[in-house]
Amino acid sequence: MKKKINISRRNATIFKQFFIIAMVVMTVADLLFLAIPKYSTISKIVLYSSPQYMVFIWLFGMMTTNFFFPRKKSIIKIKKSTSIVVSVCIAIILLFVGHAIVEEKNCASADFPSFKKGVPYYMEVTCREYEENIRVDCNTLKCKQQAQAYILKDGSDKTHQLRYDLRLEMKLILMIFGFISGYFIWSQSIEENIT
Amino acid sequence: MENISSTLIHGHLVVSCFTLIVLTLIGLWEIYSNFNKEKEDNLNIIMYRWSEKYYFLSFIWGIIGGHLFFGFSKLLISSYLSIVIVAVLSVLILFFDHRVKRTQIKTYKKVLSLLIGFLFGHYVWTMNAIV
Repeated sequence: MKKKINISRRNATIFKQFFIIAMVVMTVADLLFLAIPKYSTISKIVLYSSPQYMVFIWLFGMMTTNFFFPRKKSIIKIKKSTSIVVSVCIAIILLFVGHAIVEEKNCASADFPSFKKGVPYYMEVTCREYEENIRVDCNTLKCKQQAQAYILKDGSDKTHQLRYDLRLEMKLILMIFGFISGYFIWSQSIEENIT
Repeated sequence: MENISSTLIHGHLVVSCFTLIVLTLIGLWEIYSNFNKEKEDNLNIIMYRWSEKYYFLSFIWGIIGGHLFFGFSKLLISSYLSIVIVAVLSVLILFFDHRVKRTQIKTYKKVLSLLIGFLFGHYVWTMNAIV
């Protein structure tokens, strides 16, 4: 039996226009931020939010399944309140875990070889130039004791930051977890006609 | 050093606030559309309907995922050239989508489009390359 679906064109049209405008504004703003040296870009802020905000990776996975491959409600029935509670719990857990594993050090408290020794198997050390956020090979750095910062071995004055980040494999696992979460937690909001 | 760091922090905050405002507005709409009486005005339904007709959406979403969260550690092409290539490809796919009339894109084609976009964002448009 076909279900009659009440489609609202007006609201959907307004939102589509707003969404497209928002995406265009974000893209143009990102290009502007790229042109102004003192501003970081939206892309870099999202990339460097890991591991503290690794919840964004999981959310992205969830949104991917929810937008492109949503599960029909008839397959598994889950209440909306349950979906919300489970999603919020997972997000909070990921936020806590992300903040617990972050570590940034200057070279007064640890030289690079000892910093590298303590890295767990699911993490890696990344070395970035402080101002322009360019990633460099950690082995090209040395400690400048007076400034308590890492600089390049060739004597360049630009300071660098050492920090832990999740390995790419771990980020991929987190995103796949997001795909699975999105499929089982959130169902399609409308049922397709069954013929 | 202090002047540079405070300038950088200020710049970082401006960009973060701007992004949060836009995402909050989208989030507020999503909450409103979930509780209003009208159907099919939710973001997920709109995106789903779009993805049924246009390859562009799944491709761009894949690129965004690969670019924002991953990124190959080696630079295969220059960052400016990668932006140009992404822009040109996007326009081509949009053009192709509007020229070809279709009722529904099959799931496996959506997966393929997402995957290709993801690999593109990861390998070509990387922000994680070691200089």
